[in-house]
Amino acid sequence: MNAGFDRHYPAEVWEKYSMGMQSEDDCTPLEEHLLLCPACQDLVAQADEYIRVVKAAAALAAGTRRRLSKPMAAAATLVTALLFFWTATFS
Amino acid sequence: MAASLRAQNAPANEKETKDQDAKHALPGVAEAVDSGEDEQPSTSVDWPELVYRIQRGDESGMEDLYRLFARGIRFYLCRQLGMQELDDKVHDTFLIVVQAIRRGDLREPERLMGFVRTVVRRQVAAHIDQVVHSRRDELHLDVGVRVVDGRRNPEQNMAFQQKVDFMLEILNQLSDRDREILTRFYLHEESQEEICQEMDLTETQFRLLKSRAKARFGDLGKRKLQQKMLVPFFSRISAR
Repeated sequence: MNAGFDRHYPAEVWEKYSMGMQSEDDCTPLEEHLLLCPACQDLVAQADEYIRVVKAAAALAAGTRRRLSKPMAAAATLVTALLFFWTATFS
Repeated sequence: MAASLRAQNAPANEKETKDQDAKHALPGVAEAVDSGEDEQPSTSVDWPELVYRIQRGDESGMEDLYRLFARGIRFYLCRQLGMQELDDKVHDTFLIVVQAIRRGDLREPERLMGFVRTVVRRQVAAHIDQVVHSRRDELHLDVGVRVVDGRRNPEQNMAFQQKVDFMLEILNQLSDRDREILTRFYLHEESQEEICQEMDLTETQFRLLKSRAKARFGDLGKRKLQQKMLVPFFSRISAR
């Protein structure tokens, strides 16, 4: 019997695999292919690294936004209160 | 017998680029797989014949088995367990596979790939089990055992931080909605279907956003790299 190595799996499939989003059944042919295919091993290594980078950057971005959101909300409340005071006093 | 045919859809120049990229990927993985065989597997391997040669004790059978699986086994073990004692683990795996074949445990020789995968997965599970047990029983903790050795050297740390900065730059340029999509997928690990349904997106829009972000990340990386390479050039020019 011949092993099928006529094609590689696309990067998107490996990204899902790298994120653990493939079902156990889907993992079987993927991992068997991976054992023998250096090109797909490289794709998985790249996917692993890309995901780590996006995770780290997204966490930083979310943290920055969270940190900024409180002072921004406080500033908005203050401006609204001032506007209210201004219109109430001078109208 | 293992022939040295190159697999389709993997032109040489494309492979070179991928090799370059892989060098900057997971720490340890690139180095780990570099020491293995880099040959593309055959498009057609006669598994029963290979198993028969191993059972007979034929040296060429062992060589072919090693040539076919060494890189893949190293890659899998390194990815799951890290670089620590990697050579020993790869050796143990081969030993188990060869002994099982010789004992006749492999009933369907054409399923050799699946058999090797099972052995490797069991090795990973056994190692993790061992670590869990040694941690539970702290009195007998084996300090040499770790699940994944994720340590990076300072150079790798710097490269990683630079990539994170590039990605942060890209994320900050995106609209709130696009950034939310990527954050939900990569950071919160929500499924594509879930995100598409909740954010009223088509599958194509979702895939397009992801691939655009990846392409921009690649472009920005290349641009910054070119700038970095040009800095010493321009400093030399200006010094003259």
